[in-house]
Amino acid sequence: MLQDLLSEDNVSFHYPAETWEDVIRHGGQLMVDAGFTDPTYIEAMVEVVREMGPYIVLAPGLAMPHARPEMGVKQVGTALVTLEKPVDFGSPENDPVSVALFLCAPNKDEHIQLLTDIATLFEDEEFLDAAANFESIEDVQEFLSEHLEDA
Amino acid sequence: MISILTVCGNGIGSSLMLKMKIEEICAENNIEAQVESIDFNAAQGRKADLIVTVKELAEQFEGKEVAIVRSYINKKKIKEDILERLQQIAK
Repeated sequence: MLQDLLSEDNVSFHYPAETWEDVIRHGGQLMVDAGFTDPTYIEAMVEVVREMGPYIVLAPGLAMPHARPEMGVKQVGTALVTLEKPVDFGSPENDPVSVALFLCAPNKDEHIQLLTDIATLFEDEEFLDAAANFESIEDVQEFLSEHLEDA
Repeated sequence: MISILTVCGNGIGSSLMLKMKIEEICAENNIEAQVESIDFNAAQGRKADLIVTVKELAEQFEGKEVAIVRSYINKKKIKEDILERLQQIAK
């Protein structure tokens, strides 16, 4: 499902972010432009980290910014942002973050396959290094087709 | 049948990943469990045999049966963190 939702419009490579908030706003805007969410969702994702901490950093170097369905989600969606240089999110175990794979879902059910794909990637020992070298959507799709079971 | 709540800030991302991993772990160890993912606020009023979450959120569940996992997605770590507890509760 991840490969179906990613296109050249919602991926961004070597983004020069200074702070974790830059990262979230950049990826959030990609999701708004792709028609996945309203702009309110960007603010909601930032608030999640402010209020609950950096638990969205799920594995070393890897974050999955997201917020609640009712915060302006139109459909299941995602966006991929790789960073020019790693940024701290405040996670003692998993900082600094080099890759953010965003998530939005309108309910608790429709995005199960997407979540499974993201978990698979985040557990894949090759993903972090591979993502640092992504230069195009073709690079991303090639990696996904080799590393995701449902590809 | 034991009841488990997995908790994160939103109830649709991290906690749902954790729910899927715990269901796998329970199935592999013949533990009958009903696992539900839920957001932090909704979890406050809920009863369950075990609440599973990460350290940052665990402090808020004082007085309840809470298990802390180091990761929402790493099955090996989750297993190390809670399997023994699950087996005890399921007895």
